[in-house]
Amino acid sequence: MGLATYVARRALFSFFVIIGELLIIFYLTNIAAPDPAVIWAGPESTKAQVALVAQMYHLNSPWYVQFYYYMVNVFSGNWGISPLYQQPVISLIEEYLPVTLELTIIAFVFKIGLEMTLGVVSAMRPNGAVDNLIKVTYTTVRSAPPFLVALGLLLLFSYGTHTFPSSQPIDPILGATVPKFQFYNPIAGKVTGFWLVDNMPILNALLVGDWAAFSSAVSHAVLPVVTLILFGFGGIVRLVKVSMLEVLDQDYVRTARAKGLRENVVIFRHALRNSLLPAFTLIGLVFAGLVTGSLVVETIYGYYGLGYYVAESLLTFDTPSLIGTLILITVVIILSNLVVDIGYGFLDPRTRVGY
Amino acid sequence: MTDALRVSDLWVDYRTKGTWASAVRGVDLTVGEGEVIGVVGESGSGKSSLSLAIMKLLPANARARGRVEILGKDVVGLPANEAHRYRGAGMTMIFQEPMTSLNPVMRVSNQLSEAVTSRGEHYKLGVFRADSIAVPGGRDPRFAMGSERSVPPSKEAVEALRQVRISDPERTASKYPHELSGGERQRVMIAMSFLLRPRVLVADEPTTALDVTTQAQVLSLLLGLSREGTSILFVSHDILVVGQVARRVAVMYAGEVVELGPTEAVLKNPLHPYTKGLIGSIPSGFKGERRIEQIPGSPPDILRLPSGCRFNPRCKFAMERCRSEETSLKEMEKDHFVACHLY
Repeated sequence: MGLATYVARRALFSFFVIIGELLIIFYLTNIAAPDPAVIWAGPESTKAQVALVAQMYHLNSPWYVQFYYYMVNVFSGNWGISPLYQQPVISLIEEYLPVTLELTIIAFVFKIGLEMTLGVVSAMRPNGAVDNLIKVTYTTVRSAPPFLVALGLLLLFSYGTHTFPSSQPIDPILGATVPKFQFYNPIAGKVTGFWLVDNMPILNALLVGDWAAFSSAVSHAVLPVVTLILFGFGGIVRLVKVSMLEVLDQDYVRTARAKGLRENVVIFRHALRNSLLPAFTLIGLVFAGLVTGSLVVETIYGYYGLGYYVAESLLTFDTPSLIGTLILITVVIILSNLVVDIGYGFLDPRTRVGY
Repeated sequence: MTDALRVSDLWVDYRTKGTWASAVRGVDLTVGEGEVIGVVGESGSGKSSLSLAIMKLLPANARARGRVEILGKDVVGLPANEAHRYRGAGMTMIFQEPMTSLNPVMRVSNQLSEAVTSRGEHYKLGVFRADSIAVPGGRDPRFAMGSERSVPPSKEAVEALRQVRISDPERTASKYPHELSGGERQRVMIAMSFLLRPRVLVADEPTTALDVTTQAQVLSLLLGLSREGTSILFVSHDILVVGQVARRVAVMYAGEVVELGPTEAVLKNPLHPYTKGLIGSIPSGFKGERRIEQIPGSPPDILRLPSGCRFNPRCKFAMERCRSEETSLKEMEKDHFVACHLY
């Protein structure tokens, strides 16, 4: 079976998972609010008003009709209005999601790169200096809760040495003056911005070439990124190390050596790709962990992203926002797993057969 | 005749339970240019350790002592980061397990092309310079020239697959190893050694995992390689298979060579009781009214070797001397050596 069929199949599976996930969220919100019309109409509403709301939102219809309207609204971008911000949830998400996405992707790239490299290095010299240092870091960071790590870094590098700012994604003054990135949109046929880029402080500053804003955004991101990297640090290192040691004992590595290849070619061309396979399955989980981990990190660093938004809506009982972000986070996790599955198909041709 | 491979007083020790146990004990062997030598023995006789020691591919818990000379260069004392210079175009190995010997995530063509580039690099390195080896006639003239870069590897890879009689080589080349059968994979391994054109090839039970018809094909392919000047150390537990390809045979027992001689002489006139046992235990097929004779007992544990001749507990001719005095190789006929107190 070819790679294209494999990808199409995985994508279709993910779509059904998203539908199932929406069904669960729909069910859970109905449990949480058995009579939503009363809540939406407000505590001082009359019976007629409640009835009007119920009719407007099809609350008297059977559940599958309600689910139909729910789905139509979800897919058409009508995610409700946040009572706290008095704004549509979807536009709040447009504002907050890119910030978190940028932070998470940066942390993700550094984390995966660092952990995989360290895993290979420690496999080269088991029980060597690097390996032992990683073990100590792993045990320390794993046993400390993430918020404690975040607070420790804040205390040390922000309040202690004043190396990095303690809160905000960017210096507020610079953030207010930096222009939004504009480009010619062939679909709209005119020069526009793009919400996903607009709200990524680092990428936007880079694209418009505002270096002051860029360096400010980078220095604001350092501590949150480091915290996210340290969040669950060492899992991939250890997995890569163990599988690398295992792979180096395999027959095909011996074949590669017998071919007269240099040791670094043997390791990087033959052993590495095979030893990263088990770690690669973990990558989706790591990304999901970073997205949820950003909830804690963003709250502590006052980094105004999705995590901050979720925490705020939790504390103020902002139900539409909560449902919206819940959908979003699950979709992000499902999509990241889809990407991992497809990547796995690229890395290991054997997986393409079973599907 | 120059010796492509000369093994002298080679010992291979494994670290077990805090001590070193020797799996190969003072083996001496020479393989001439283009010669095929068979190494026969039961499981645990040290054949595989010998092969790996020659290739300098022993696992981390093992060490080798003695000398292994490839075209006059010792590889035992070589630092690990230089061993790769002697493999590839110098010496290569075909492993016993075809199912796991190819990289599962690389296409066959890429694994084969790698052999071509490796060979080119070895020539460029000058470890196996044209003047240090006698280039037999009929060989590719590029062999003496050096660089191989100009040749598109895929074409050569396909050609090598055709040489090992893989049907539809173009399609096979673009496949992944898991899409091939065991016999095909083993032939890919052999195609790889064709592409490397090694001076020395160690074939560790290359036919054991194959069915009989494929076995015969593989053997003739190996013989073809030896006619082109590659010296082959053919390791097998099957003395009959060895008899078909090897000019000389070395019989190993408990890490030592107990009998060494021309194939004809060893098969027709075995001297060592162990060799006699090995030949006696071959099922003689339809002709045979003779019962299969077996060698009683099993090979000794290398941690607790019997004193004197290592074979004495299983030998029906064992004498008092066999239990106390160690044996050494003695020349009985021309080129036919045996390590036994009977002679």
